[in-house]
Amino acid sequence: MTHGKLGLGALGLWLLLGASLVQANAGEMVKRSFCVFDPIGSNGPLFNVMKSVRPTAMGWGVDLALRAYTDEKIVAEEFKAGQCDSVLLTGTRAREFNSFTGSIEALGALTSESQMRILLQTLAQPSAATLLRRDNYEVAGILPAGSIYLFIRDREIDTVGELQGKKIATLDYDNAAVTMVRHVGASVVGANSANFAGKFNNGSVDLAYAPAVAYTPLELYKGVNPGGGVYAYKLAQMTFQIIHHADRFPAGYGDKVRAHAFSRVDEAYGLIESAEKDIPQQTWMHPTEQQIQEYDRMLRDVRLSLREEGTYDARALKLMRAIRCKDDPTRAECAIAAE
Amino acid sequence: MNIRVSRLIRLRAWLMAATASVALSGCGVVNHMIYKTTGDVMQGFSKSHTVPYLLQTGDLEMACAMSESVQPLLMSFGRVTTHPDQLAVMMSLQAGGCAEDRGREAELQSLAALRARNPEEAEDAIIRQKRHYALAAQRYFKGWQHFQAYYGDPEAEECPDFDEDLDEFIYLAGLLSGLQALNAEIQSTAPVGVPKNVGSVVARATSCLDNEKWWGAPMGLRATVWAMIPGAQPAGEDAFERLQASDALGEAAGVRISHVFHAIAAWNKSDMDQVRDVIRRHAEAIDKRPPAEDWVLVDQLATHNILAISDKLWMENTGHRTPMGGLGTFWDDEAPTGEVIDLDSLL
Repeated sequence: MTHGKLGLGALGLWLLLGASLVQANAGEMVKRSFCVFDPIGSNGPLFNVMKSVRPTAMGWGVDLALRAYTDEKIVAEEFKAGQCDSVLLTGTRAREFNSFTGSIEALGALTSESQMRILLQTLAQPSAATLLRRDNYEVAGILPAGSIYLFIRDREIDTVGELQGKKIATLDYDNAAVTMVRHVGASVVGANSANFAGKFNNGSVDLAYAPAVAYTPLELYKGVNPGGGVYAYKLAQMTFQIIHHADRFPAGYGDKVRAHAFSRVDEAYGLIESAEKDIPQQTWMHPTEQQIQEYDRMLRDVRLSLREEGTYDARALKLMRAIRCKDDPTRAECAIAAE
Repeated sequence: MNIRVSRLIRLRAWLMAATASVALSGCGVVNHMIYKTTGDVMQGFSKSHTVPYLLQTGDLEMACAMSESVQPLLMSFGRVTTHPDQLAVMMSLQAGGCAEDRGREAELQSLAALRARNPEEAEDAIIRQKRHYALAAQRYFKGWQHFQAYYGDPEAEECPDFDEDLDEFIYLAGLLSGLQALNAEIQSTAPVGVPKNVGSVVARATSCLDNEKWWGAPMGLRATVWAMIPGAQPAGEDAFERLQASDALGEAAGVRISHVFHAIAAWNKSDMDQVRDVIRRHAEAIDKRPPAEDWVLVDQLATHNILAISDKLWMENTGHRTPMGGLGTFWDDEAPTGEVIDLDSLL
């Protein structure tokens, strides 16, 4: 315990020193790397959007050198090893750096754009700063990537019971996804962002999950057609998150980047909306109201077990429950405080 | 009296109707005989002579200016005769290239401003760059739509029967237009409406063309898509090996467009050593062998694009673009060494 306190004290002092060192150089430009995960590469849409941030960051005293990575695992490792000063990752990968923001993608925790907007607005308040920082890792921006849906090769599979024994392309580094797939009795087929679409399209798996923005570029319609569909139940909300080593940036830089990222949310939702419209009407499979309630309950149970085992942050789940209830106070869960 | 007046009125009405009908049929004659004939002649002449002539010339700026200025005139003949879709593919590709060039110019300015740590100037240049790219994306996309109107949807139909070489070349230009539309839309960060699967569609459609006949460009295009779209590369294939092989075909033919695809694919992977190798290889190739006589413009276009990539590297690292005659060289190249005379004895 004493050792722990000493450790924390030393860390605090080190952080303070780090901050003052940067502040001492205020007015000067610091050169920092920004490693961006884009599944396409440096010609990809994410990297191009992030490139536009350079002049803005320069106005705040940081000259960002951008590097594109097509492998998210590598970029996360390089960031952890200190080879990247800041990084752009998916929320799932961000979980290891900040379990609070890493829990935004929790299964069934946010079910609509309006709820996501409340969350982003909430986290844009200065008082959220402590939640966005863990040790020296600071979350300097969150961008929505849309709802995650289930892509199905066979439309007959339209209830949870029918998932039994079915193969699902699963990001195997995502403990939550693996737990969920096992919970419904399906089998995990390890996949990553580069190969899940191929596995789905060639029939190596029966189902895959992804945001709508993946549908056309990765040609998921090839797996969906002719007999499948996209299940119109929002499993989770995908995000991209900018994280940096806080001591390497000037004081207040994180606040500015967060405000800037927040100002781009409408743009992100414009892209998401157009991607969802690209999925033809007849491809969507609509669950009944009763099924939605059953799935909501099931996902809540999974969330709670993942909270108990430490995958999800309890404060994040509590906040997102409050958001769901603010959005729709008639939800059954609003009468009980399980999260 | 009343009867006479009413007869006169009826006669006048009949005369007016007759005059109108003659005038209208005259209009029809003009429309059908003169305009349509002119349209057919213009289209035929453009395809048979202007395009081949242009392809033998090497002045890209003039080709660009012509496409931007003549396209509305040529396209307007689509109102009186068949739509000139094939010409539109060529014109849109060229006109898209003009807008893209302006976008690149703005990007160089933004890079220079960032180097000089002038964020406001950089921001302004980036906005201009995106505007130009949005226009380029619209033009390229138009080219892609005309391509589909003429050759059909490559996903839904078999490969077309080509009557002549130019039909095949315009098919290749259409595929390039589709891919460029997607790329320019991404660069613009604005929604232009280009279908996001166009890359994969283009890659598959390249198999309708003979790779050797077209200087390795079809395979180069396909391999570039493999290198860029996650999971697009078939098992057992290697995009960069294919690009190397395409380069060799292009070099042997004197139409080195494959180098451009190769450099783009390597840049996308952030493999800057490979980008430099391709630029060096291109510079050596154009030095060794003149362009193929009938395809000078295509080869010039390749050099123009390779120079643009080189300029970006030079600007980022030195603050200026590639020096005159410096294509294939880099700022950090080792100084050449050779035999010297010891000066000590003279001093």
